[in-house]
Amino acid sequence: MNSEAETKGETLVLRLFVAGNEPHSQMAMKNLNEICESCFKEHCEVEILDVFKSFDVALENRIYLTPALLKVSPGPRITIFGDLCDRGKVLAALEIAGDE
Amino acid sequence: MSDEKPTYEELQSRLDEAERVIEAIRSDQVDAVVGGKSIYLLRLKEMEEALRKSKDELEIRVQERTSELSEAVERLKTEIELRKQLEETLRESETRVRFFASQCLTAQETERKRIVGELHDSIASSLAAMKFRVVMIAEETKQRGDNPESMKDLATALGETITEVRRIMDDLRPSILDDLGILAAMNSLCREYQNTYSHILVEKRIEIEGHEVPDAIITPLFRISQEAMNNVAKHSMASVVNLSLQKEGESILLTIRDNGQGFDPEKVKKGIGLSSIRERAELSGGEGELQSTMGKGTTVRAWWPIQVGNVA
Repeated sequence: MNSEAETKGETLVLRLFVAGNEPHSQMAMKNLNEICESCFKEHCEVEILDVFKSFDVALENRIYLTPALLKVSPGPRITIFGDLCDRGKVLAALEIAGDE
Repeated sequence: MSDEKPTYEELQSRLDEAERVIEAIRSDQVDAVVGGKSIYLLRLKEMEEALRKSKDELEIRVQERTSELSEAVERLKTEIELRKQLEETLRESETRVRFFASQCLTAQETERKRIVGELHDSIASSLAAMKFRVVMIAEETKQRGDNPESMKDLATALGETITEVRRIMDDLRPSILDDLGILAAMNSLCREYQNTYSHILVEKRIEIEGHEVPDAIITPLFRISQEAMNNVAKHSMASVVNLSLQKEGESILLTIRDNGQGFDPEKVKKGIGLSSIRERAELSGGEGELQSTMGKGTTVRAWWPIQVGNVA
């Protein structure tokens, strides 16, 4: 999984919703950072949103739990929940979406 | 949201999302729930930890308390035991003191009897002999024609001395008490008292037979009467003293009442007379009390259970 993931040349746009400095949110930020560094490099844009500050954005995006990772583009939107510690599952979810 | 029915793919994708939600919750990777109006933090681990900790602390506290309590109980037990021992010791020494005090009173009476015996056998007899001799000499002198006045005076003086010695002897231990018993002694006491203190009217009421008074209380009964009557004469300014001795139920009751000035028992220092009245009664198995009101006279009461007197 160390190779650059298949993104068909498009930039991956992600939004990570966190809840302040809560431990799982911190863990999710750390894990996402590592995944982007090693798998997507510059082909990845990550926006981190704190639900305490961006409550309405969270509701608009139908985010009801944190931490939550929302893939905005490419392709259909998909949301992954939890601290993103299982890199395989995260990539699979993103890639499956990418494959469609 | 559109009114169109969702496609199969959309439904499938929502189902997948729901599964991922469930899995995140199940594996405890969730921080907060974003609700309709606010955000609810979920710190399950912390909460569990806090709960466990407080439970542990509670258990420790309970254990500490339990051991504190059982220590306190132990301490109390020891203290109670100690107190019991102290009380026992105190009771024993009280018994010893009472026994010793009653022995003292008995010894005092015995000693008085002995002194009276000595006085009777030596001084009183020789005084009587001397008086007899003086009267004889006075008679002889008179027959020789000399003036016997001085001898007569001497005989009178000797007679007075004899009377005085007899009075002392009677005070120490009235022979009548040993010779004729308690009722005769009480009658004699009242008679003598009336003679000595003619300004105080003695009213006596004895409603008991001599044989009904147990031996053990004869002396204290007499001494208490003597002491109380003397107190009336010394302090009360009374014009009447009333002595009664009677059976009341299972008790023998002695009452000495006067119509004198009375006193405030709180203020009067307990003299030997007052406390010895109660002490004599108690040491012989009875009880004693003293009641007095300013201006309304004084009453001394002593009573003994009949059977206690018989046992003693």
